Amino acid sequence: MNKNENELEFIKSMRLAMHQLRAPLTIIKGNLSLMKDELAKNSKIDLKEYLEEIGIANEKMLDLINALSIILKLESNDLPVNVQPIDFLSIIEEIINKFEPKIKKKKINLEKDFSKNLPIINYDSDLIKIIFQNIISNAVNYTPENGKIKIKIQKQKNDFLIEVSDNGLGIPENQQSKVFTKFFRADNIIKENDGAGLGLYIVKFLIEIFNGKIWFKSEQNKGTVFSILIPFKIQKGTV
Amino acid sequence: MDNKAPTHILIIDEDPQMRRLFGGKLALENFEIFYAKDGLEGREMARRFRPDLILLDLNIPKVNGIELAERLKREQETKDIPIVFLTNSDLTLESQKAAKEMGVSDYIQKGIDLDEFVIRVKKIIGFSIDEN
Repeated sequence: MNKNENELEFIKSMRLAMHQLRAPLTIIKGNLSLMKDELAKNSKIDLKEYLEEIGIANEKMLDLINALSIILKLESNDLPVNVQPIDFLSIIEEIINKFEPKIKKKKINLEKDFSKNLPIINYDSDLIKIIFQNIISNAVNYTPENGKIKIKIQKQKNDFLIEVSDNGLGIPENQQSKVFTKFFRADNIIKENDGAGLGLYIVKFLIEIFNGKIWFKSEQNKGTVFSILIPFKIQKGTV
Repeated sequence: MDNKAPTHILIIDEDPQMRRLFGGKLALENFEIFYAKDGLEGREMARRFRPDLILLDLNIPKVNGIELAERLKREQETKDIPIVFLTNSDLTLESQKAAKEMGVSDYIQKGIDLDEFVIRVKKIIGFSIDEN
């Protein structure tokens, strides 16, 4: 991108980020006002629902700021990469465990198909977590109740092939080219627990830094398969 | 018009928290609220329930707010329902003018004080009731 395109892209991103911050701030302001009015009428009123609304809005803002912070570091070439030996399988299991309550609540059938004897690899565990937290989170959020998710990890000659598939909402064909762009959210999603639309942009960026690859196949109302290739070795140092 | 019959308001917004916030406030004021999460559903609900007012966000999926407003104002079943844009966006003067020409009754920023929001909604509905 040339300088003008970069500036336009920056302005567009700022505009979208501001718009996304405004919404949860409006929710917090509104719910605080409702709480105040209700307390004035009845000091014993149960404020739990209002507090939950405020909590959801607060989390959305934090998620947005955290994602923007990572993007800023990625785009300004300033993301430190701490390479150390990691047990890839343990990291994936740890992420899956975090989503266990949601998976149970939605009665999602989660199938794991992991190659045996996966090697210990030298990677940055935090960045690996960001990648797979996003991919698995999307699968869990966009798969309906009683749906299915399959996570496959296959050892190949020089890399891991990871496939995360679901039988959820899928991505409409005419929007698939935008999946890895900033602030993209498909218009068929149920907008309750969705994020800011920055996760896949970050995931692709990180994977490509590692000289890996990410691609997907999706059909609306049938589901999506994300495929990720992670080489066994990356280079040390600041990105 | 029977003033004791509940007044029905349709809120079209893809954000469930926004729907709950504004719908909740209006429900406390004894309005009956319907909800739609996108433009297609919004049009369907408007045609089916003929609400007394439509509160419409601009950034809705499937059919966006502006396009939906134009459609509703064109179609026989819905052209007389007052529409108010309820939005996070800053409308330019040009957009405000276009909205007025289209027949949109008002546009309200979502950051508005909720009591002020209710006053403005009541004013629009009261005004429309008197006209009818």
